Amino acid sequence: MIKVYLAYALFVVGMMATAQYRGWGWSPAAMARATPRTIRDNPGSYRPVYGGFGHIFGGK
Amino acid sequence: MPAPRATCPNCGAPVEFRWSGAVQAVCPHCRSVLVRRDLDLSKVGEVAELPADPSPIQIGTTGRFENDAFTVTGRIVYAYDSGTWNEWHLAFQAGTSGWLSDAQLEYSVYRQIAKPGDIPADSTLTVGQRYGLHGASFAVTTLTHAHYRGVDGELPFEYWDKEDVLFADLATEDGQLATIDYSESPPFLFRGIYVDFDALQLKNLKPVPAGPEAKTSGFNCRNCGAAIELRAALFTKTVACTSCGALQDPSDPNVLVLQTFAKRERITPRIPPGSRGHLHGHDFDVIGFQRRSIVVDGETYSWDEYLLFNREQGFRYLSEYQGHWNDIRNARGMPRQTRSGDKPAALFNGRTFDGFQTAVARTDYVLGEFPWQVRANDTATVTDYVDPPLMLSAERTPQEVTWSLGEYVPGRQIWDAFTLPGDPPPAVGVYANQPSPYAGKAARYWGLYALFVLLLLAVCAVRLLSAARENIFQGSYVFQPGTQEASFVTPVFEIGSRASNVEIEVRTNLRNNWIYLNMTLINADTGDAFDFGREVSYYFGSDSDGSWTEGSMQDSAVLPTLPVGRYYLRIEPESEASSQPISYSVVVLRDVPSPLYYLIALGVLLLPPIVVTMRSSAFEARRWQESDHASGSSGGDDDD
Repeated sequence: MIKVYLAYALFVVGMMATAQYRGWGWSPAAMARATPRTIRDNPGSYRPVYGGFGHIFGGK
Repeated sequence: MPAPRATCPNCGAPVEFRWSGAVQAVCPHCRSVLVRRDLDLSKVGEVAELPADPSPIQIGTTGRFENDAFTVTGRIVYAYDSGTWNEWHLAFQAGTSGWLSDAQLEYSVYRQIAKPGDIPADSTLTVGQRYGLHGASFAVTTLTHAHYRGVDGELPFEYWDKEDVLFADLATEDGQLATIDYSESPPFLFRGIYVDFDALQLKNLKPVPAGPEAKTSGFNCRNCGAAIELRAALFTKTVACTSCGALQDPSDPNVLVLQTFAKRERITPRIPPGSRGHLHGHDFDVIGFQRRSIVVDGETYSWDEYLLFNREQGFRYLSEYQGHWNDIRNARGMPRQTRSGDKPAALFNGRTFDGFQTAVARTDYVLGEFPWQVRANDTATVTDYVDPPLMLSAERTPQEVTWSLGEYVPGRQIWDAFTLPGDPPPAVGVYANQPSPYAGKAARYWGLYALFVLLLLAVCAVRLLSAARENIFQGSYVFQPGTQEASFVTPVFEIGSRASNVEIEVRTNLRNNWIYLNMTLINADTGDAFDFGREVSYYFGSDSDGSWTEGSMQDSAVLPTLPVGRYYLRIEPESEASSQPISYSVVVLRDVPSPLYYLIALGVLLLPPIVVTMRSSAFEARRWQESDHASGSSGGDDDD
């Protein structure tokens, strides 16, 4: 079992190093493919794919 | 060099000395006891007929002890409650003397201490009491009132006119021995150690009986007439007839029936009496069987014990409880009783044994031969101490305390040793000295975990030092809330070199306000768009509790692995329509390290050590739940 743990741990450390180098991670972004080039000319015409969402605003 | 020779003054026969230092010898022809005084040899007595001797050693046997060769030149024979034993005189090649004791085929070698110092008076001795002798602390193990039966061969001193002799046997917890012989004044002190028969490398042993002589001795049961075989005849003090169960004393010429049974439960031992097994490199015969039991909280727990015998190796025992087996022999030394934390403990051979259970054990059933007087319903107070895989047991009767040392043995090993058919009974539960399959593992897992933490820290450090953190775009903006169309796009910037993550930082000058930035990172060549948003809010003030702040004036988002290419941002800010203009800046960084991921890795690596530790603890909890000291589990992770 120690060998399994050794292999498991080396895998985890290796994956972590690779993920960091490659920049892997969880994305906070939704992806929309092939947006029209006209966005640069008319930014207001674009709507994000995730649509609207509620904001939590306020102070104490 | 030829051995010194003399002529017996009694019969005129030649007497050949094996050892030039002999003071006393026995004429092999007329059995006269001869004593050398200067050059004369005079007869001082005659040797009575010596009892039959079960020992494999004889005069002329040679061997080695502590790298010194010896020859057995003589012996003194004593009788005691359990039979007879020999003190064999050893003449070492180095010119020194020693004594080899073979009581019950337990071998120990002693040397006499020339200047023993203060020796306690015999009247002050009690079993269990400790004395400082010759620089060590010894406990009295037994006081033996022995009867001198005779001498044979050559001895280093005159010793022939004795009758009853008191011997005090003492031992330390690490197996050092001492014997005080009160037959002389001042008493003799001997110090020694236990030795294995094999370690003595004995040669010229008494021949093993062959042919018709090799037959086991026996007699017919005085109760039912069935034939009874004796395999350890000269040691057997009690034999239980396999037919009627009557207990008899074969050492008595009339074979007394000691105990009979009106109705006898039939118990079939798992290892049949008479079986021969190969253990520790030697053949052992099963000569006796007994079932014993204890009652704890009104519940009866029974276990079986098998008595094994080998002519040279002596006696061993096997015990079995619900599929758990122990290989047991007499403890070689006197354990020191102490405490470990809040529970009793025993120190022995450098190990600490934790107190497990004390109970009154009763003998329920007996079969075969025993070298001690045994009866059904005999009781003894048994205290077990454990240090897996070993178990140290003390059996107390009003007459004596006997210590034994058992080692847990898998049932399969017993089955193989005795070539028993089928499979051993499955082991039920966790036994007191059963080795934990997790013993030492948790420590090893935690040790490895520590190494992996260091490795992760090293990888993290390398990453922090080697990450590019390249600033690929930076822009500053002012947002006027209430504006009809606030969205805009940034100039195109490049993610070059290689695919990597991207961090977008937003910094504001917010004061008691908020801003929400809808952002889209768009690949200028492919049109691929990544939508995300960041809310930044920062409030502060003071109240009865003092000043407070909430939120932050900046925030960031990390987008994973973006391909090399040209990108721009579409930004659409939102805020309270009535609020003041908000200044903010956007910074885009490429190839950014994320220490959080290393913390996650530390957690992931932590799982196996935690699981192994929990399993180890659960195993120990099951072990100790049967103990008198259930709450005092010692854990089992420190031994392997």
